[in-house]
Amino acid sequence: MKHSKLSILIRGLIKENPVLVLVLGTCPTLAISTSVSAAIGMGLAATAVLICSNMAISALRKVIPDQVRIPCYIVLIAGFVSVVSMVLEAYAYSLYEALGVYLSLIVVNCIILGRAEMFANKNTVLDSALDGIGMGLGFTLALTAMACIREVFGSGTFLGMPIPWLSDNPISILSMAPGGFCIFGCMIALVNKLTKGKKVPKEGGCAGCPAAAGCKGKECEGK
Amino acid sequence: MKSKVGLKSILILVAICLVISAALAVVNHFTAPVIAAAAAEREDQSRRDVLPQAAQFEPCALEGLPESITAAYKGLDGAGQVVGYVFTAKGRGFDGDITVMAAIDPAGTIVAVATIDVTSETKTLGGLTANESYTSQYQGQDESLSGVDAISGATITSTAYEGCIRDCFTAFSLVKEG
Repeated sequence: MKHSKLSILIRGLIKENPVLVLVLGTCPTLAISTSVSAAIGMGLAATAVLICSNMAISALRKVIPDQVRIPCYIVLIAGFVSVVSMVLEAYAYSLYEALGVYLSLIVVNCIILGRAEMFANKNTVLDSALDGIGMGLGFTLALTAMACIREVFGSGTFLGMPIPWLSDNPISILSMAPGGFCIFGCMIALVNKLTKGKKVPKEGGCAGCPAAAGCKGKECEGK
Repeated sequence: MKSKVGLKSILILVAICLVISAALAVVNHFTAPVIAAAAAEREDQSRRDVLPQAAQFEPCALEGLPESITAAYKGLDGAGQVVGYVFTAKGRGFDGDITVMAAIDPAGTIVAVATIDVTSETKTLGGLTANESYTSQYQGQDESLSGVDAISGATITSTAYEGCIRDCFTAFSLVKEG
């Protein structure tokens, strides 16, 4: 089942949002969503890496042998993250500082490795690039939405600027892990409601499923 | 089907690693000088922040100074007179190393203190040492630090911080002229 180019781009935003529907990349989501500016920065950095790695992996999909594909993907992704890290350290130091260790952790961000496995190694470079843009923007959107709630109500500021009444009465727990999980859960529920809880359609039947190698097609029969 | 890693697979993996390494070396070649220059400028700026009277800084030798001192500079005004000394000290905080900078005038009183790095400490407790309300306590203090209050609930960080400042005073007594 071929998807139109536009649908590849759009589905990453809400319907198949990597954080809220596919539930990938939750670690950086919870860690970075306490500040809107860091969230936007992290989202864009991860998007840049995702687009580059999707395109590179798609371009090399006929070259990389199946047996060593995971090490190859990791080397490529780590390479792109290192480049982004060096560029940020040189030209955008405040963002580099705000992201801290989570910048390097983009390498093991499940969204990037997940999309490489699920999409990039089976589709053309252009489709993979569009998928990267869509998923990356979806990640950024989810991160920013969570950050807006957590920063405004958790610390009473927005983009670092204090808000009159809220900054004197912050709900601190929202800035910490428990609050983060609560907001995360609420947002997943909200998106679930918006997409009417539709199961993520498996693209191309068994060929699009990561478990295809092990299962013999019986798992999804009839679904 | 036996999954044997064939020679072709190994060669391709090695080739990809080599290409990526080369690409990283190229990017590093261009960004490393920019990063080093920016870091030096930030350090210089933080020295100027704690000792605004100084027009330039001269590094002092580190041998003989307490181990925690990572940098020692003499601040000179336009006429070449010493207006103060700036020391950077590293201490063991609650969950990692903290870095503190102190400017001491030739009379032995603190001009200003700056928190360089307390990211390892708990943000709402030890992390408060980064705030103006804590660092401003040190202004005008002499080596007894009698007017400085620790942050309640952040004893370890506060003690480490004060320890760094005391080491700066020790370094001052060793480095000062006259």
